[in-house]
Amino acid sequence: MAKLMTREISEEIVRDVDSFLFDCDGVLWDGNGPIKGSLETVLRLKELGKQVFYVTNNSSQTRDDYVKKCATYGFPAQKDEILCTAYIAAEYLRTANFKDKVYVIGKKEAMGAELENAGIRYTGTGPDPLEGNTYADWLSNIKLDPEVKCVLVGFDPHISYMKLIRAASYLKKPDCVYLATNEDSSLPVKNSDICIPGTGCIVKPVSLASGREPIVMGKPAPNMFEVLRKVHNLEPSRCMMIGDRKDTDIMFAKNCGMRSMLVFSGISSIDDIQQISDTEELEESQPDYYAENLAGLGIFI
Amino acid sequence: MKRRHKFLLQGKQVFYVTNSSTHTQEHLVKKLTAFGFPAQKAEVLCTSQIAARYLHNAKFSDKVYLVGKEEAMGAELDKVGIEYTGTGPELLIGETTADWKENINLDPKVKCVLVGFDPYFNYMKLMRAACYLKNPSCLFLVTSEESTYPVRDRSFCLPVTGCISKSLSVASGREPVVLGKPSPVMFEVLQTMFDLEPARCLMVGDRLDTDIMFARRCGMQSLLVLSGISTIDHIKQPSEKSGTENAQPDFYADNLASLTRIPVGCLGHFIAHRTDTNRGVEPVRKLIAASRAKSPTSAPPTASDDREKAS
Repeated sequence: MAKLMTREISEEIVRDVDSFLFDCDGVLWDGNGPIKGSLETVLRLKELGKQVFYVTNNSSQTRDDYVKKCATYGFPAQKDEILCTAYIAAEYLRTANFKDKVYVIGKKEAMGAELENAGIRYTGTGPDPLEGNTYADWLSNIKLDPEVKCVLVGFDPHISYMKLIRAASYLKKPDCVYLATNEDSSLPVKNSDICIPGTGCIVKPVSLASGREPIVMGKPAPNMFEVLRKVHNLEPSRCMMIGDRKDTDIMFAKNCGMRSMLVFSGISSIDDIQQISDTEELEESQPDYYAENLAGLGIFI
Repeated sequence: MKRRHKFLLQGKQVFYVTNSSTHTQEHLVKKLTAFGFPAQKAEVLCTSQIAARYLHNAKFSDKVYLVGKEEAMGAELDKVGIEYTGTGPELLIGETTADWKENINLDPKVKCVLVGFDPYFNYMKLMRAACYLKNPSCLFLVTSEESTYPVRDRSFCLPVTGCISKSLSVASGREPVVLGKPSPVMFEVLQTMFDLEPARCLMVGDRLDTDIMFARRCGMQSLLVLSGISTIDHIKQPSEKSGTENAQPDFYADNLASLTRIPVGCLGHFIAHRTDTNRGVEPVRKLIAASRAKSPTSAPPTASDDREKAS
């Protein structure tokens, strides 16, 4: 059962955990700016000699962008301490020796850039407006590129109906690989009446239209941890993942064999913690620990 | 085609029930009539018209955020005097969350999000609709959850309304009220207007997950034609994934014309195609025989008539 972070537990954590992996949106910062107390907590962990990594499902930025963003807020971050899904998707294709073209639903300056870094050709980024009034018009304006052997879906504010037709049509070929950066439903914007739809809202229509499910690069899939583990020689039992979403961050931790902590500064709230009297079976995605925010750990260490 | 509709019409009521949200009821009547199908306005149901009717009956007096075609769904809402906003192209304003927060300008009068087929669907529309749906008292209606439309050129796939509505369900965390098949709403409208007895109705369609499911939910008999989306494999190997597990038809045929090519003497052959249900031969005999019955003043069909029809 999930435990509220206390002084006693924090001492145990400092003793038993060498590496801390942080989700970014909803933990370190959100749509409103940096989250109070998060920077102090991360700096304190560094002072204690701990390793700090940033593991985000966000596909709108490159690793270099994240280095800059962290620096802006004061978070200490080297490029190889950052994992984001634009990078991991390109890395996945590179290590699979992919030589064909990718149809990308995503930002050119993020997913496009990471694919270029990995030497992989792509098409599809940017606006793709509707031309014509009928099905016949729309289909006659589409020329499917025979070199495309992968559809990669990430966050794309230019998502449009034409892009859905293209992606679903490419996926009619069974030998066309279907990858998605992540399936997060929305980006956290605390205390606001605005909802910012996430990549999951773009993946869903592509999956429905094509009748296929993607290989998901981001959390909860363990891909990003596998990369960090190899590069930094991590031992899962001495790692802890801190995030704001049970279905991505906490499940990621469980899939990788790490400890996990859920904070309520993003998507989740206390209602997401299962009380012992609720149901008989413990929900799979319950964290080991929880706190209001990262400062809820920071005040004790 | 003429033979088919004459055959079916002999003493029978015919209705057209489509999930299409891109036509008004009037457009559809014209389209059907142009193809030679006899259709009165009251016999034609489409989801654009049903959505407007649903809101009108609920005495909805606020505004609708409409993800759909102005010339179809918008026109039907106009007819019942319901205000709406949101149709047509919508440009992406800015690149960042901050831009969107500043420029979203939500209309406080909107108390319903209504989703139909909209080829102008994009991120801005998705975001607006999801924002409106944050208010639990805002209604969430969709015309249909069908995800694709059949295209002759098999190298293409045409996503339709279900792709839009499911995207919005993911963003909002809410499930909509579905107005089209398999929801029984359209049958309930017909049932009230024409005093229909479900057990004496046959729904003919090409999709197991909409048409046949609709028939089952309404207590009607069902005939699947294989001339569209669903295939013989969906009947022989139903699966949860394709939504075909609980949507098995009572009967199936290659296409609607098959009904006219069965001479009474070949009934056994037709029965061999029926799916495994507890229904016996009688309903099929009655179906064929009743459909061939002429009006009380004309003579019953002769054997030579049957041979002529079968050719």
